[in-house]
Amino acid sequence: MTWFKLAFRNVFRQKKRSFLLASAIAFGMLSITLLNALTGAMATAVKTNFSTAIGGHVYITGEVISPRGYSTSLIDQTATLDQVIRSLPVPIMQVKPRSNAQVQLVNGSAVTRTRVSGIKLENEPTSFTKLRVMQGDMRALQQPGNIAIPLNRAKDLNVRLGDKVLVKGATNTGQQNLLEWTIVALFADQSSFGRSNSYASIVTVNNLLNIPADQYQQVNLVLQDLNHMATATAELNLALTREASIKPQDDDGLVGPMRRMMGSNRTLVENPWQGTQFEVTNLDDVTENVMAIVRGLDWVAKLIFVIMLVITLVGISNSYRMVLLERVAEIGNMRAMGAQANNVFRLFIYEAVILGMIGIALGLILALAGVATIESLNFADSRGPARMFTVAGHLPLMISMGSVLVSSALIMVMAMLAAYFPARGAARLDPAEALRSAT
Amino acid sequence: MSLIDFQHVHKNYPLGKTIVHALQGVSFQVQEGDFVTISGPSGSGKSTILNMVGCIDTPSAGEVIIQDTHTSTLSDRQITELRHRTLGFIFQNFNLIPVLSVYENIEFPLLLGDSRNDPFKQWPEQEKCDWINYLIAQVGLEDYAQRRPAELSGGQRQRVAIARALATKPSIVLADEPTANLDSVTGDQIIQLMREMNQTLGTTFVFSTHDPQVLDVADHVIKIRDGMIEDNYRLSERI
Ligand SMILES: Nc1ncnc2c1ncn2[C@@H]1O[C@H](COP(=O)(O)OP(=O)(O)OP(=O)(O)O)[C@@H](O)[C@H]1O
Ligand SMILES: [Mg+2]
Repeated sequence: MTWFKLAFRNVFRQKKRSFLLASAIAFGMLSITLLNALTGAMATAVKTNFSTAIGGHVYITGEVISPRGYSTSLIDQTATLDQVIRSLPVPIMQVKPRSNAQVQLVNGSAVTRTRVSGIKLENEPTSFTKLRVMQGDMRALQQPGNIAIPLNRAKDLNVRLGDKVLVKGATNTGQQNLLEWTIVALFADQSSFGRSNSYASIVTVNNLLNIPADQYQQVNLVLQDLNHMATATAELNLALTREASIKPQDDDGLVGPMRRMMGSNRTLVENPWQGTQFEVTNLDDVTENVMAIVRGLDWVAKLIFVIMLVITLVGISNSYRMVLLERVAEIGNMRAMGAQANNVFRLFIYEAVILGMIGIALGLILALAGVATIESLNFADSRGPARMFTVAGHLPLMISMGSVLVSSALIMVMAMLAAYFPARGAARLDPAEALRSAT
Repeated sequence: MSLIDFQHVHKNYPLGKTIVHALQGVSFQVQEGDFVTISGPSGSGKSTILNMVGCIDTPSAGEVIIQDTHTSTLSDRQITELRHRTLGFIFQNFNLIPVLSVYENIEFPLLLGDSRNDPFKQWPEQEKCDWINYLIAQVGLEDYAQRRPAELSGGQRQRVAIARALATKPSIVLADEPTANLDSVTGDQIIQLMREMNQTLGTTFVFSTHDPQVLDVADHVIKIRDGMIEDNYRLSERI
């Protein structure tokens, strides 16, 4: 207690120097906390944006062989799949059957391309809550033959709410199909990654694709907890292997599921099969490439942090050497009075610990302020890939308790390491020499 | 039995390629309760002797015996404990801890022990407090107890140093030229104060000085020249 009090007062003895040292530590703490928050925010934003764009966390697609020997995107063993999903051991928030089609919308000479997602509205009542509906009502999609499109596409097509448009697309087996749908809602464009998306009921899209009303191409699962993603995927693969069949893991990796999700539905196969061949992917698979970039950034940030740490370490160590020189007589005096060498050693270490704590606290306060500032910035109007890293225009920064603890511990160890050699020097001072040099 | 017993003590310091013979066979005894002066010209070896009595330096040859303990047999840790328990120090340049108040500086030696059998740990808090306040009163600094050393005059600082040296109720207080940084009037007062403490508490004081006048107050005078004892006498022999 005595030594801690003494150390505390010693820290405030040379206010300017202590302030500079604490600032160096604070800067380290500030930058690593901000960098961690930033890369964390990027990861969160990427996941959020992808799961919003795709609509879920785990994706089950299927392929069946058409009469002509083509592989087509379709799940016809829907009862089996229902059963498998119901017996999954993780909590599921929503089950979203979907069918997708790439279509051309035509009005006179105006043409625009869009993907139409066929949605079972009663299964996903919350799917449109984030959509800014400008005109009309998404609930009207429940009627077959209705479509909701982005407002800017409607302008391109020169159509208004309630107008009919021609829909040109291919059936699931590849025949051209032409239908007439009614525009019942217009919403602010949410185009992710440059692709525009429109919505209709699954029955409407199935009608275009010429597949039975109760079948679908894909089921997206929304999980209660993202941590269950791997378990859910593995369990689905197991159960579907047992109850149906799973697409062999050899060929096209993500290309197949992604292609089907985007509504491109048909390829010719050499070795046909019976029934549905399922394929299960999840958000982690889909975001893998972007996440690799984020992880790379994270590593660079950590490397910079370590380099900064070492520079600070050397600086602090040198300052302590100076402190030691200034206090030679004092140390000799303490030793003469009966302080043991290890007391002197600990005094210096305590001073470093106190300085470290002040620096860490200061850095953390600055980091909190920094996070608040960055979070208040709005990037909603920015274009390009930056949007991938924002959610509703903001960087979703989060300071995680765990990483704060880890970096604090690291900085503390560094501060103690910086003080170690000067402290040992102080402890080893010969009291007679120390006292003599002061006179 | 003497409190301090020097037997043929030599001390050599290496200085570049030569060797300085700072002490060349010094022998003397100090009795308990004495007020001892070590005098001699600059460089004669006064500080060297005091450092050896104070166990902060070791002889090159010969024996230093403190309270019947041969100091050469002790480990560094034991030596430190011996210093803590039986010795008090007063320095020419005061050496107070600048970040501690007068009261805290005096209390500091009592808090230093870190061994389990540390005698000052068992001391009741109130008694400790009364003792420190008693010492503060004895050195006449009642109104300055909460001041920091930087706010005191040289004479006041040396008074704090005297109180601090006495805090652990040591058998011996060592003072290496305690008046060298003070004007002569203040210096005399400091010597006077040490003498009073020597008489009220019975603590043995050993101090060095240039000042021949000081010899009058001492019980025991040891004169040094060139690392050898020139004269060694007690003024009033006790029975
Ligand atoms: N660490 C050392 N290294 C080399 N020589 C030393 C050392 N300490 C003391 N000496 C030498 O030993 C001799 C005695 O020194 P000491 O300090 O004991 O003298 P002193 O009587 O205290 O002198 P002063 O009155 O000036 O304080 C001197 O010649 C001094 O130069
Ligand atoms: Mg001297």
